[in-house]
Amino acid sequence: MGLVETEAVVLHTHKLAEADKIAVCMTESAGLIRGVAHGARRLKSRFGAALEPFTLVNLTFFEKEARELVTIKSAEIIKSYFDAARDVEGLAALEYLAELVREFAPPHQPDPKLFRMLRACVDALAKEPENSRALLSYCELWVLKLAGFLPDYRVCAGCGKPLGGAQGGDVHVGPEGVLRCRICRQAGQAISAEAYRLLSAIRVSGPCVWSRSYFAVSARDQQTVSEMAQRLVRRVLEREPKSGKLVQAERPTDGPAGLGRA
Amino acid sequence: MLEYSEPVTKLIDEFKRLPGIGQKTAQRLAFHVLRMTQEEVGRFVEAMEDVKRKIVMCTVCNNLTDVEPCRFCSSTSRDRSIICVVEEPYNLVAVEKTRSYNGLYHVLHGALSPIRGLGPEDLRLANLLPRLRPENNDGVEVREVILATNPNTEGEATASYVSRLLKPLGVRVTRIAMGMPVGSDLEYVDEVTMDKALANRHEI
Repeated sequence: MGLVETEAVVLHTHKLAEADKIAVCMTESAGLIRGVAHGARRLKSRFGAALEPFTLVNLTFFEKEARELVTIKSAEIIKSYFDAARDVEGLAALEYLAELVREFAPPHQPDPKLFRMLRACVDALAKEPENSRALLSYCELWVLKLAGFLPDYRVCAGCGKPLGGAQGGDVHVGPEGVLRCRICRQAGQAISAEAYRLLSAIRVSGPCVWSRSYFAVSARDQQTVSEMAQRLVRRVLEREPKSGKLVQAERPTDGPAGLGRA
Repeated sequence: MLEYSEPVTKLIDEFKRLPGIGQKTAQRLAFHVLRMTQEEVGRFVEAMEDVKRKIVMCTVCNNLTDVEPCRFCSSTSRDRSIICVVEEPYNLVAVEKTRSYNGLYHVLHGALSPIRGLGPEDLRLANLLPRLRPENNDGVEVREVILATNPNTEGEATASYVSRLLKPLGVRVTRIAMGMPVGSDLEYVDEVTMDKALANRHEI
């Protein structure tokens, strides 16, 4: 409680009263917070562009016990991603990521791993917007993992036996997005050894490295992994993410060269 | 809320539905209404009813108006070869206040916002493209479309989307400049604003 200074990524802002803003931020040391920035919408506001979504800032805020909303005192820009969100595809991808974090991060609970993942993914989406489909699947799987919703892909969800060293056709993905062995499989499809390796690689690869591995496998395997991640997100949220509709429409479908749109 | 009688509670609840009005402000407004004379209350109610009854959306530019088409679209003194695209009707007032713009307007009634579920189909764009043709613009060809959406991420993405629709039609598409507010001090400017100010610099 009291004055807190921490790094943060601004996820979303909305208008409050005449000239104020409410900013939803993922902070390194205080987790997900919602704060009021007084006068932030004024032309000569001291916040300037610091509270634009996806900006990495050094945030100072004041929190009181038993109050959900904190008061944002200052925000100094560490890195701005204003230009990364200047087209519809970029904005849709970044807002989808922001929505995932908002939905899965419990408020006021520090989660340095989630913060680092968010920071890395925002940076990767800004650097490689043409790889947004792979990067968003990476984000979906990591957000699920850090929130404890990602099933352990090393073992069968049915019998618990290890799935390691899977040969093509040995691992099956069910409609709910979990993996089962050949014996426990229910309705669903077999996934290839490449798709299984891609899923396993998420634990050890950064977003840019993983997106290169993603585009190295066949389009069918890419689709299997992406659909699995999306299915799990929908299953946990019990609905389609709000920004999901636009992101589906804008995600490039033909790989890193950004050829074609869905 | 049991502290107040039912009509007062009902009024407070109605005020609370308005944007930016919380419990305390709603209470204050409700008690102000109670102190008003019957005549003042009548004027207030009439004003609200009038605005709902008389104000329509201009079929040409989507501006809110009490005459159809609006006074900008029907004016003979305005330059019909330039259209300024804004997000909301009140943004149009900000441009109009400059007295240096004499063209037409187009109001989108929103900006792209995936997180709020607002996509291109939610913007009022369908009647913008036909307006560029001389036969739909009193025989005047549109030379330039100025994109005056808000200088934030959602406004930028909206401007980018609209420009992608318009550019293939061969019309000049421009974006309002971003940079230093007049009367501010370089000492306090943030790096994004300064970067935009440098990018939009002009020769003197």
